[in-house]
Amino acid sequence: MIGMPASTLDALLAAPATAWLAGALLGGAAVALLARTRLRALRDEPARLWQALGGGADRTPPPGPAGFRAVHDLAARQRDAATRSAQLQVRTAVAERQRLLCDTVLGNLQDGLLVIDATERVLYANTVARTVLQLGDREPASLAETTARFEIVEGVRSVLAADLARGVKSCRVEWQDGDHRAVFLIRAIGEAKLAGNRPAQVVVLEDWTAEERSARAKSEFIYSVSHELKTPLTAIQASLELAAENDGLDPADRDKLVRVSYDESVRLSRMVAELLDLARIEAGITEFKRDTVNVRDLLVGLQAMHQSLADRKGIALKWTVSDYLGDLVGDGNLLRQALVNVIGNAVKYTKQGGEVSLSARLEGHELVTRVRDTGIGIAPEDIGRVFEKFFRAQSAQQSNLPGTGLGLPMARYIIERHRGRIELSSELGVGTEFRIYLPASAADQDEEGASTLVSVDGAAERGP
Amino acid sequence: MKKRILLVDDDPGIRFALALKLKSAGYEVTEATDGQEAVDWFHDHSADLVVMDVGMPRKDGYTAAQELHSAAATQHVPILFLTAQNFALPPDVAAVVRRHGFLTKPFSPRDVVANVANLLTEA
Repeated sequence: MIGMPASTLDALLAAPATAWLAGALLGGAAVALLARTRLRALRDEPARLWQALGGGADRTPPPGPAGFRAVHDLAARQRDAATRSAQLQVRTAVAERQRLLCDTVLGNLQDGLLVIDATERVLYANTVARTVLQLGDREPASLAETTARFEIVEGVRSVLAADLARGVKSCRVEWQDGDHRAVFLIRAIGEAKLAGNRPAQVVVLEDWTAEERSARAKSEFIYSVSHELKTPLTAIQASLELAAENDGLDPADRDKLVRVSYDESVRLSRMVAELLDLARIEAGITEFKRDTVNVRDLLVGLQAMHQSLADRKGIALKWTVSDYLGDLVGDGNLLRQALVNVIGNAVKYTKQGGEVSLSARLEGHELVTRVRDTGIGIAPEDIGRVFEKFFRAQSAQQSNLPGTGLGLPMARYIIERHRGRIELSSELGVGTEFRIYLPASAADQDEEGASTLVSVDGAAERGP
Repeated sequence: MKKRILLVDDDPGIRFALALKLKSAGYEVTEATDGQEAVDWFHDHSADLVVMDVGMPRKDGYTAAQELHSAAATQHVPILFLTAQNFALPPDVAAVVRRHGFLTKPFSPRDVVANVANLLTEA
């Protein structure tokens, strides 16, 4: 009995039959009213569910069973869509990964890669190709719209024009831009079918600049060798010929001719010896030993070795060698050779009253050896070239002191093969300092030594 | 009047031997150690012929020869090149350098004298 207080119940119990009847009618009416309310709520249920599922407000389902069917269909459609979306997400992720892989592979190619159609529209260009075509961040455009070098554009056009059925068509282009010379090989390597079934061609832009440079360096080296060897040879032959044939020769001139021949022959044989040493080391014929080298002993020995020459020239040698330098693993003889070449130069190019100082200490994991002189110095424009074979700084040539221009290249090669490096600073007329850094971590010396040998073999390929 | 020859070579041994030979053959000889020195020398001197090494520091023989033959005062001075390689003149040098001779190292001082005489007669 809804909404009837206890006092009303008491009144009903006490009431006559008519009152009972009236009460029953009233109760029935209340139940009917309640049922109607519930039914109406049920009628609205599909619309409420529809809304909850996010169905469109314009297509509210009809009341009753049809409405429930519509809600059910909506839910089913949504479930399918969710499944499809999940599948799509997986597929997108896979595609994204493949795209990343492609981008990584194509982006890291040493060569430029282009996909270009018959109308010269660039459909794809990898990083290198973008640089070569000077596309910047812009979307690939037509070939004519790029600011690429004329030579590149013409090269690509010529391979596009070629009949691919006859095989790979390539063309070589080169240009000079100030001091920079560039060489490219452009090749059409195949057809690609892209969207819209438009045929396009895959074109590779190979940068041959470095290879050309290395080939050039080789021929320049051969030129230098023959020039450097022929010059003393010519001096010897000419001098001896004159000394032998000319009866009316002043004895002093004859003596000088003989002395010139002797000096030049010494220079020639030293040059041949150094050249062979360098060639053997660079070609990997000379095996790098794995000695345990006591650095302190080595450096102190080098001071003793140069002392008599320094005394004769009136030069002071000042060695500051720490007691705690430990050992180096490497080829003791070759390391000594490298240091002799550096210290020998310092003594050679320092005049009377000057000083050559050497200091060695551990800095972190490196053994740092500084060789400083108060010698003739090297002009700024020559500093970068002192490690070139046969190069002699102007100051060295003007000093009239003999030299082959091979000592420092050899020193650098030996030091780099020991995973070290050598650098210098110099001031003309003031002096020069060479700094030699060698890995000297005592803790991992054995392992370091082993990997030194590995890198020694690998480095052999870098020779000229 | 003796003919004057400017002898340009960075190698002191070759310079000494050739100067000796050329002097004994009756020439006046002035020595220079590289191409730059040779070009500078001509600013206030003159010579009848230049014997020029090709591979030299500072300024090589070809560059020096181009400069000499581009200047009005020295464009007719014949040049005898001494070179380690058996090459002809590079095209850009040949375009400028007119009368010249070639000797490939190693050469005999006699060849130098013969070539010098030859170039001077043509002149």
